[in-house]
Amino acid sequence: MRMLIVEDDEVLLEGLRAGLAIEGFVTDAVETIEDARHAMDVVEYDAVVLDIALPDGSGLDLLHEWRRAGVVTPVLLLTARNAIRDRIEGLDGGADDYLGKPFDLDELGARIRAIGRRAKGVASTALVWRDIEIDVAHREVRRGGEPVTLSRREFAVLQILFEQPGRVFSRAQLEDRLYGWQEEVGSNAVEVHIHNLRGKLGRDLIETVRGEGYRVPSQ
Amino acid sequence: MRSLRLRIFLMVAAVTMLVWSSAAAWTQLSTRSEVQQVLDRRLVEAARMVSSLVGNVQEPIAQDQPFEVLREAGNYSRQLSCQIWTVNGKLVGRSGEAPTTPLALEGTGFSERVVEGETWRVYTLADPERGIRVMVGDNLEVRERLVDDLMTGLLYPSLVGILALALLIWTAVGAGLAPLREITRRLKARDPNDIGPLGMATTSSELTPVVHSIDDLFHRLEQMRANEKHFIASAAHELQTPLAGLRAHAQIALVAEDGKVREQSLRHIQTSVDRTSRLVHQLLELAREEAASERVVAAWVPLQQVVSSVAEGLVTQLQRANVELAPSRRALESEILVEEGALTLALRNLVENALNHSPRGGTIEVDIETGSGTTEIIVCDDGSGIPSEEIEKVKGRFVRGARQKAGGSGLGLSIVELVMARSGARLELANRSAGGLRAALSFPEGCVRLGSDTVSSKT
Repeated sequence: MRMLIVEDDEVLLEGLRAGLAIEGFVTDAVETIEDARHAMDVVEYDAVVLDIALPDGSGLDLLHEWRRAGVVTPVLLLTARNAIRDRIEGLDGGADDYLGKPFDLDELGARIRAIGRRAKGVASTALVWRDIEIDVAHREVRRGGEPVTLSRREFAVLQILFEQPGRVFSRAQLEDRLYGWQEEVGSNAVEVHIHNLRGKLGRDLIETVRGEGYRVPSQ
Repeated sequence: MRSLRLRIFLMVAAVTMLVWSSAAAWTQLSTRSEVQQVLDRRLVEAARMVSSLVGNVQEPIAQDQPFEVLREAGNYSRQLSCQIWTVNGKLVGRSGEAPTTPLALEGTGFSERVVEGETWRVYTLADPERGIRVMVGDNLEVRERLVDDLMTGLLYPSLVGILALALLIWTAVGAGLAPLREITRRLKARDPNDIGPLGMATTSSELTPVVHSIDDLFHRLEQMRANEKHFIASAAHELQTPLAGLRAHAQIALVAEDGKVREQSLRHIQTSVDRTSRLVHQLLELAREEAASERVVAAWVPLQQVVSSVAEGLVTQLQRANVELAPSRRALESEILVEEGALTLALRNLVENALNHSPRGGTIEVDIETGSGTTEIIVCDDGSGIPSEEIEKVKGRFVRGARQKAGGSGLGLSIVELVMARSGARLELANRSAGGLRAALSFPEGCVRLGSDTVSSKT
């Protein structure tokens, strides 16, 4: 999942980046509302972690702006204002979830996964395709009951394809979701991941749609 | 006197009693003399009447024949006694109870005499033609009793009147004090936490200032409490973010398998702890300054002393950022009339602020400038300054510049403003034309003594 973090405290921002990377998320980080607006225009994120008190305004106002403009990307509000009234205001203002500071990184990861699932209409953290099972929460993959070890990126590609079986993802779309701004993307990185996945999980798992991209065939 | 009502009542009652008893004494005296005159006139009339009745009598009148006309009934029957004497001293007639000894001696008109142990007031009428003297007398004891009874008759209704008056005064005083009671009632009925106004729209003109004062006091209290609440909420809020950062990095350091990531997180924890302690320190400073008494003990303080103490305190930070603190000679030779601790606190916050915004290798200048009526201690940095639309806002608590990355608490300038206000100085911020911020502590005239050579070079 590629996500945007909007947080003005440098130390916390670094913590969120490093912590969410460990949880397997691809993150872009910005510190102001203005930068957040630009980032949303350019990249299609799977989720946004948004602080409320930002130096150039309120995160809530930005959220209103996005929702009015029809942006449906799931948003998790992160704030030091943790009174019930604040939470209600945040959720009614279009947020998908709300987490008060300080928080546990595992909980934050779980909540982001949860709002991501909801946005895609998936209820379970376990995705099954034929004899392959993936447990998104614990980042585990089994084939015929046997655990298979995948790299972080391989898992991410698998998760993207599994969550919407039958949908074709182009190479650019996959790259977008796999790499943040600051990361170098090798020219054939996606092909390498697909190749490795086919090697570990079977050739018929991922289909190549010529000229368009890749998909997991619907069952 | 503990009750205002009782106090007013007693005072009004005392005044009323004084006036009333004077009036009563006057009435008593005038009534008594009036009654005496009336009774005296009666003696005269009775004497004339008896004299005319006995006008035709040639022979002595039988001793035992009393004049029926002189008989009276009731309590005062024995009051009037009559004697008819011949000129040669023979008693020719008397009323029933009259004594046989003459009621008066020689002469005519009014006289008083004690006869048979009783005092009589007598009117003697002489009729030389017929050779008789008529004496009509009042027994004085009876006469006194009559007057006393009359007075007593007047007294009883007055006593009842006094009691009624007292009751009316008590009630009236109570009614008059009603607005005061209403204030008391409202104050008593309040919830201890309720500090809204009393809500008395109209009250007497004497109480209006009191009610206004109370309302004003409550209002200020409410505002103070709101400020405090806001401050505590902001302080708690401000602490949450660094705590969240600390928590996140601690968690990362615990689970990270990559040594570099772990090291990075530990480093962040260190930075964050430093910043959080600074925030807590500033919060305490602010709280201490707010709690400090209004009175400051000002003395002439050499600015050099203050600058060195600030520089000493910040030596590590200055070195780390490779920023130079450069006070001018003029500034170092000046003296300020101020509380030293307050100026040190203010200057340290300004220098820290400048340091946070200085580029590496920058310079923080401290100078002194005289203007019209004021003298300013100036702290300048060569950072990026503050956008003009934010320049007034940044003095507020927990307000940081939008573009600032230095991680200040947003309290520094509030502290400066607070401590300087108590010393009569103001904080003024402006962007320098050359770039960077110019923070000035503006002192009123007479609070700054410039160095001697500066004065001579200026003149």
